[in-house]
Amino acid sequence: MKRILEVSLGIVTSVGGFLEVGSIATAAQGGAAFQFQLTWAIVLGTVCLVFLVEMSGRLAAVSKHTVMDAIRERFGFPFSLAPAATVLLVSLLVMASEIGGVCLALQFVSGIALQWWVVPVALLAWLLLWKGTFGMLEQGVSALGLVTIAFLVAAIRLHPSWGAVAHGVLPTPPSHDHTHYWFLVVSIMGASVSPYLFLFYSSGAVEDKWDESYLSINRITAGVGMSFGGGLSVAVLVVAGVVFFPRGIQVDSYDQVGVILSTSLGHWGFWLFAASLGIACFGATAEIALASAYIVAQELGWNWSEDANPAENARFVLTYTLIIALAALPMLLGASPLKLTVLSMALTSASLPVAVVPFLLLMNDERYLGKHTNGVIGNTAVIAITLMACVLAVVSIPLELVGG
Amino acid sequence: MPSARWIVLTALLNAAGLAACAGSPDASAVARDAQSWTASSALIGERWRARTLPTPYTRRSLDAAGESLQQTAQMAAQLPDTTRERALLVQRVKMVREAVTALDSAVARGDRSATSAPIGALAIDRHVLDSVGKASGDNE
Repeated sequence: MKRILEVSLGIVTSVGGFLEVGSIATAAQGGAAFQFQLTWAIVLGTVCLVFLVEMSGRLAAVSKHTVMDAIRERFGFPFSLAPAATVLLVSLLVMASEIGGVCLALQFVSGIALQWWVVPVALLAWLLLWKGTFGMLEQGVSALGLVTIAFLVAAIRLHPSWGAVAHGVLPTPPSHDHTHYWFLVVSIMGASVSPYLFLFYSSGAVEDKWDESYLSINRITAGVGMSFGGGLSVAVLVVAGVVFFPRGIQVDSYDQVGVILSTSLGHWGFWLFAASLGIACFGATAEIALASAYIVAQELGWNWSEDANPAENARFVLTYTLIIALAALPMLLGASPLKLTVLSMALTSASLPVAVVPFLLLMNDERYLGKHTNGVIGNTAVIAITLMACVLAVVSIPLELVGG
Repeated sequence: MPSARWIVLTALLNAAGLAACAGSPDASAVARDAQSWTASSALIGERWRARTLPTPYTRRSLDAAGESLQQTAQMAAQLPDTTRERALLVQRVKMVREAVTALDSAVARGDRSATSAPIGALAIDRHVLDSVGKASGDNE
C-alpha cells in the first residue's frame, strides 16, 4: 500500500510539475504557427526526458550519488566545470523566464505591470526555499500544478481532429517559414529536456534517501509521470492549434496567449490559464533555484540539503539567494518574457550534449551502476535526440536571430 | 578542397546577406504581422463582450496590439514605393489601428454593445490583410 502511494505521489508530482513557462510558450507558438505539425517535437523531447529522468533516478538509487556529484568524482573537477557552468548559465536564463511567467500571470489578474511583481515573486521563492522542506516543494507545488490539467480538458472540449493530431506525431517538413519551424523544434525540445530537470530529480532522490528498492518506483514515475506531463504539453499545442492557427494569430507576445482557454472553458478559462501559468512557473522558479544551488554545492563539494537547517548549509543557502537575485534582473531591466523564454529554450537544446554526454558515460560505468548500467536502447535514444536537438539549434538559432 | 579563407569569406557574405534581408521587411511579412494582431484583437474583443475576459487584461492586450500595430505601420511605410501592396497595407493598418482604438475605448467605458462595430471592422480587415499577404507571398 505504501509503495502504491509512493508511485501515485511520484506520478502526480511529475504531472503537476511538468508544465512551465517554456513548455507553455513554445507549445502555444508551435500550435499557432503550424497547428499540430510540431507534435512530434514534444513527443521526441518527452521520450528523451523519460530516459534521462529514469537514468538519473537509477544512478541516485544505486550509487547514492547525484549526477553532478558523480560526474565530478568520475571525471575530476576541471572536466566537470564545463557541464556545471553550462547548465548553470542556461538554468539562470530559464529561471529568469519562469520569474517572468509568474509576474505575467499576476499582471493578467491584477492589471499591475509585471515589473512591479518581480521583487515580491523573487522574495516569495526565496522564502519558500528558506522555510520549506524538499517534500513541501516537490509535492506541495506540484500538487497545485495539477491545475494545468485545464489544458487537457480544454483540448478535449474543443473537439480537434485527433487524426490530424496523430499525424503530427510523424515529423513532416513545413510548407512555409522553414527557419521558424526548425527554431520552434529546438525550442520545444529544449523546453522538454531541460538539464535542470534530471539534475534536480537525482538530487531529490538522494534527499529522499532512495536505494535499489526504489528502482521500480523510479521507472514508473519517470515513464508514466513524464509521459502524462508531455501529454499536457501536447494539449497546449492542440488548444493553440484550434484557437489561434485558423485565425492566423502568431503568438508574438504573452498578451495574446491569455485568451487561449477562454474559447473552450468560458469565464473560468482566463482564471485557469493565469493560475496554470503562475503556479507552474513559480514551482519551476523554486526548483531551478534549488537545482542550481545543488549544482554549485555538489561541484564545489559543499554541504547541501534543502531539508537541513540553513545555518548548517550557509554557502548552499547563499548560492540560491544569489541565483534568485541574478535571475530576477532581466525582468527588472524590461526584457521581453516571451523572447527570453523561447531563446533560453533554444539555448538549452544547444547545450544539451555538454550535460548529457558525461552523464551517459557515467550511466555505462559499472563502478557506479553495477549490474544496472544502461541498455543499448536508452543510450541510442538519448544520444540521437540530444545530438539532433544540438545540431538543429546551432543551425537555426543564428538564422532566427538574424532573420527576426 | 576550398581554402579556409574562402570558407570565412563565404560565411561573411552569407551573414551580410542575411543581415540585409533582416533590415528590409517584405510585404507578406508585414501583412502577416498586421493580420495576426488584427485577429488577436478581434478575438480578445469577442471574448470580453461574452464576459469571459476581465477588463484589465483586455485593455492591456489591446494596448499591446496598438503598440505592435504602430511598429507594423512603420514597417509598411518603409516598404519600397514600387511595392504594389505598400499603399494598401499602409491604409489597412491605419484602419486596423483605428478599430483597435475604438474597441479599447468601448472596453474602457464598459460598453459591450459598442464593441460590435470595431469587431466587425476587424473581421473585414483580417480577411483583406490575409488576401494581401497571400498575394504578395505568391509574387515573391
